[in-house]
Amino acid sequence: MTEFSRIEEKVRAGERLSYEDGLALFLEPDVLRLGSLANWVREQRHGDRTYFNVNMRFEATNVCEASCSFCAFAKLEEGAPNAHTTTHEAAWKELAEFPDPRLSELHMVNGLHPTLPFEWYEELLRGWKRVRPSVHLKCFTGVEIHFFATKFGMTHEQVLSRLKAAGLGSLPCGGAEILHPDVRQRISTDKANGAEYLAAHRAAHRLGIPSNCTMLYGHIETFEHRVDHLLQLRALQDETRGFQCFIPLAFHNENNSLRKLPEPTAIDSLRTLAASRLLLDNFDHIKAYWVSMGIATAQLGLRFGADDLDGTIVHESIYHSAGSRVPMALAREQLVRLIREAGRIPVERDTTYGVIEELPRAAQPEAALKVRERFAQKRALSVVSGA
Amino acid sequence: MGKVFSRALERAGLTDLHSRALSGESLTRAELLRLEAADLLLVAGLADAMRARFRGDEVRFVRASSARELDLIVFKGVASEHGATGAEVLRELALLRLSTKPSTGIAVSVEALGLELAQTALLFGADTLIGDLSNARTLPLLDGAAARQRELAGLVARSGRRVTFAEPEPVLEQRP
Repeated sequence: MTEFSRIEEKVRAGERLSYEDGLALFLEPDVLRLGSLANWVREQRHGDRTYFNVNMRFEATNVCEASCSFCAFAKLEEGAPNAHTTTHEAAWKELAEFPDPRLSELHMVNGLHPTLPFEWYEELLRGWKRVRPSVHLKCFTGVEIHFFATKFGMTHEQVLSRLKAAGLGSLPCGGAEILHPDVRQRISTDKANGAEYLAAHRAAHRLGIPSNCTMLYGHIETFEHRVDHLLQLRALQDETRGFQCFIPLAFHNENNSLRKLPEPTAIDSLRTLAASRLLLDNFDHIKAYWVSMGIATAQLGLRFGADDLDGTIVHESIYHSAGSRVPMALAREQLVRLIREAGRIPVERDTTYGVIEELPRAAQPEAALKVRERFAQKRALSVVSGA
Repeated sequence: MGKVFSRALERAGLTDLHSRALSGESLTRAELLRLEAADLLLVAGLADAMRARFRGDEVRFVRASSARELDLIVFKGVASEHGATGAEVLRELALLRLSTKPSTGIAVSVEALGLELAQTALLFGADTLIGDLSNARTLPLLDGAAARQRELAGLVARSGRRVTFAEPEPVLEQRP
C-alpha cells in the first residue's frame, strides 16, 4: 500500500491525519488524486452546496506601525504618500449609501495606527450600527486586537468586550501569516507573534465572538511550516470550536520587499486548499478566496475541498496593492454563475453561515451545453491548428 | 488512480470510459456526450490518465512557430457570450484530449490562457505549452528569457511533471 493509499484509508475511516500525513499531502505528485480525496470530504460535509455572501470590504486606515515584508498596503505614518485614514462620517456614509439591499456583511481590516484612540474605533462601529443595523460587522484581525490590548493597556477580553458592545459581530481572518516563529520572525517582527495571535482568537471564542483564520503561503515558508500552522489552528479549534472557516491566502509579490520571490502557482493553491480540507477535520468551511488565488483557480478550488467563494467584496486594497489583477468586485450574479458552472449549488449565506437563499443548480454546465450544440452542428472542437 | 477516484467513477457509471481512455483510441461522440455534465474532476482524471499513458510526464515548451511542425493540436479556448469561466475552459480541454487520438499532443498557449489556467491545464490533458521566452507577454512579471525559463521549469515541476525546452538557449530580450 502506498503512503497516499494509507492516507486515503485513514480519511475514509474518519481518522485524524498526523503531521507526517500532512507533509505527504503537500508532497503528493498526483494533484488530481489529492483533489479527489479532498473533494470527497467536502461532499461528505456539504454535498454540492457552495456558499457566498453579499459583502463589502472597508479599510479605515492603511497607516501602520508594523513593517511586514510581504505587505504593500501599509504606510508608516500619516502624511506619507497614499496614506489615508477615513473619517467617521465618510465611513458611515459609505455603508448607508451602499446600493445593494442584500448587503449582509461589512468586512474591515486596518493598519495598526499609532495615534487613533480606542474610542475612535468604538464610535466607528456604533455609527455603522446606527445607519444599517442589520449588517454584520466582521472587523479587526487578531493582530489588531492584540495591538489594541498592548497599546491601551487592556486584556484581549477587555478589548473584545468593548468592541462587541459597540457592534462587533465577528473577527475576520488576516494576520495569521505563518505562525511558526522561524518564518514569522523574518516576515513580521513587530506585531503579534503566533501565540499572541492565537490568544486573541481564543479570547474572542470564549466571549462568543466567532472568527475565521488564514495562512499566507507561497513565500519563504516550507511545507513543514504550512503543516505546523494548520495543526496549530486545528488544536485551537479542538479547544474552542470558534473558528468558522479557514482561508489560505496566496502571497503576492508586487510593491513589497519580497518582490524577488515568485508567487505561488495555481496548482500550489489547489494543493493547499486540498491539504487544508483534509488536515482541518474540525473546521466546517474552507474558503477559496477569489481575490487571493484568482477567479479561475478559486472556482476550480470548489472541486479541491473548498465550499465557499467569499463574497462580492466591492473594494479591496490589501491584495490589489500587492499586484492582484482580479477585479475589485464580483456581482452576485457572477458568483452564482461561477458556482453553477463548477457543478455546485449556490447558497447565499450570512457571516455565520445562516442560509439567506439557496438557489437552484444549473440544469447543465454551460460547457456541457456547448458540447451538445457542437455535436448537433457537427462542428469540430476548438482548435487552431493540427498536424 | 486512487480508490476515491475509482469509486467516484463507479458511482457516476463511467468506469468503462477509464478503460476506453487507456485503450489507445479516442472516445466516440456518444462517449463524450456521457461526460457533458459529469463531475469536472472525473473528466480531468480521464483526460489525465490518457495523457499519462500515451504522452508521459514530459511537458514540451515550444514557440508557436514550431508548434505547426509538431504532431499537435493547439487548444484555442472557449468562446462565450459572458466570458468562459475556468471550469468551462478546462472541461473543454479535457474533452479535446479525450476526443483526439492519443499519439497527438495537446498544447495550450501561455499567453492566450494566462499562467494560472495554462499550468492547471497540465492536469486536464495538456502536454505542451506554447510561448516565447524572449517575449515579455509570456511571463510579464519577469525580466529576461533565462528568468522566464527558470520560472516555467518550476511551474511545471510544481504540477508534478518535467519540462523540456525546444529552444533552451535564452535569446535576446525583445520587448513588445
